[in-house]
Amino acid sequence: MNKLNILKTIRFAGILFFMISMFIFIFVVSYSSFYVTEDIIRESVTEEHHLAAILPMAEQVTGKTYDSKREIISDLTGIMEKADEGLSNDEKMWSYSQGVYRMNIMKKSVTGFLPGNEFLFLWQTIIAGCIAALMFILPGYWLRRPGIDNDGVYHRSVSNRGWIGITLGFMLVAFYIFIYWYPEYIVNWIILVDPISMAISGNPASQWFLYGVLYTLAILVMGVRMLIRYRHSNYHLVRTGSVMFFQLGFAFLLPEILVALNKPYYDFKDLWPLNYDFFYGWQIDQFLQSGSLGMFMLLSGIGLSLVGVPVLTYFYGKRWYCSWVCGCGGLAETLGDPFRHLSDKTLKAWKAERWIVHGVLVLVVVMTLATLINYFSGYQLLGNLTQQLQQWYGFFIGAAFAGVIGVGFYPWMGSRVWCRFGCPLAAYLGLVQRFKSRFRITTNGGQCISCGNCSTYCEMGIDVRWYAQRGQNIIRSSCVGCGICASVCPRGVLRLENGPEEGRFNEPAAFDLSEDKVKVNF
Amino acid sequence: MTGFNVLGMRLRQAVCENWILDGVSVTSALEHLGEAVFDPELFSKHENAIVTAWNEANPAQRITLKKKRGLYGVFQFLNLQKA
Repeated sequence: MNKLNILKTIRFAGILFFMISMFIFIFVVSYSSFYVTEDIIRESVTEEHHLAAILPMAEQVTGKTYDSKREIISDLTGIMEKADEGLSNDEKMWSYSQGVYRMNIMKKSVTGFLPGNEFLFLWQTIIAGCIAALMFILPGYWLRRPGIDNDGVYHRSVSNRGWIGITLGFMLVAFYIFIYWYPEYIVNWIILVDPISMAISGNPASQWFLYGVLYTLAILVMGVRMLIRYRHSNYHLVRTGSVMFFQLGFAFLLPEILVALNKPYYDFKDLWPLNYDFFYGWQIDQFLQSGSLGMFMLLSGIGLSLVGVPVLTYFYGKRWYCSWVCGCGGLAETLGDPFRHLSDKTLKAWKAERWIVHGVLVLVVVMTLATLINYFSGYQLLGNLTQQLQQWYGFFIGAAFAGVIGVGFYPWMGSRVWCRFGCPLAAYLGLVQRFKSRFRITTNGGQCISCGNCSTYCEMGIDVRWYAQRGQNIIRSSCVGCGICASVCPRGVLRLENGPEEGRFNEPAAFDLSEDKVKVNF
Repeated sequence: MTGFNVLGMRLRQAVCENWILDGVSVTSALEHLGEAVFDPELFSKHENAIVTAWNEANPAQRITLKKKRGLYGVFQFLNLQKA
């Protein structure tokens, strides 16, 4: 067998192993049988007065085998609701602690093949899945030469809204719905990553830890694909390395290490207004109660949002955040790369985008102002209203838009649905980029041949070609500066640049193409 | 300067055009090559190697690279041409 065939065989084996890992992953979560004991409840309910309220009713759930998750969830919820009725408002568990306790009880009461074999199944599902994906990705280094190669993106089912793409989309949507609203149903997956969480922070894993693990692995594994695919371009190598570093270091490891050191869970680069609960009362209280580190977190968060964002965007455009640092952007630039061409380039989409994304920005500003007014007035002025606002925002924007639609719709609407239509921070960065920045994508004179690659592979749905044909610089609030338009251009017409503000729009440029004159200029 | 064969490098059209219109010499164009470079950010720079190669081939007409790289240089150059 020659080298080429060996590589192709490894690729095929990679797909096969990945499918097997996915199958086992889904099998693990589907199988469920639970046996609750009083000891489990004692271990799981950490607050003494909560435990005291629950224990008298423990018999209702202990000593029997549950074969369905629905039953055990409803029984556990039942006794906790009952327990809450007997507690004063200050002592109540509310739905948050109820959820944590329920999750921990269910994690410890799983019976069957999983207990004792957690490492085996962690290996067989998540780790083997990553290795299999790399078996598919790494041979690309030898199978494709450096440079742009987008052959067949519209002929593959996964990247052209075919049945594989649609199935993938459904699975992502389902995963997000479980993570946000029904985490108890995927308790077996959370058990798998428990050892990792215990090793890093010493705490048992929650659904958010599972999410963090999978999210980070997706960025790292698909980041390797990105590095191989664009290895001819230093810009993409550095940029991809940057999002991989920020996800692994700042978004995943650092917050867990902070928790291990008894500090608040905090991601230093997750800025308001994307991080919409930064100014929530409990969050501010937590910062203020955490000494000088907490004060540093509070001040760095405010400073980066209000000063860092405009200053850095003035010098570099919004790309410094969106395609170099941000976690959502990181996922879009790595996992989302095969879907970037699916973004809608129509004028209608652009008009909708401007209303929606700036609407979300207005919404988050109003909500935050109301929250702050209420916080500093000691919850006298607006009462329960801010809590309502926060709940609605968290449900519709934070969970449904950013998560379910933002990632679940990758295979349908492209990789930047959330960043383009929903992210309030992107809207804020975009306003700075549009009106007060040194960033532009320069169009190099009259060299455009109208092939349309730039527009096709723009993940933000910008019709780059329209500008390139007119010889006009591209300055759009939505541009995240990923640099792919410049890379796919067969003529090297486009260049991302930071320079003097004067003349950055390069207007009126339609048309001035020269090399001896096509002058129209209206 | 009458034309360009840049062998895969990317050069800025506006700058090259002005060079041709003004009939600048090859040595002057090479000295100001930084103004014309249009390769993407973070790509390796070739101006020094090109100037060194020129100097090795033409010891009688030694040149030095004028460090005026970047957009400021380009803007200065183009404004100068307009005035």
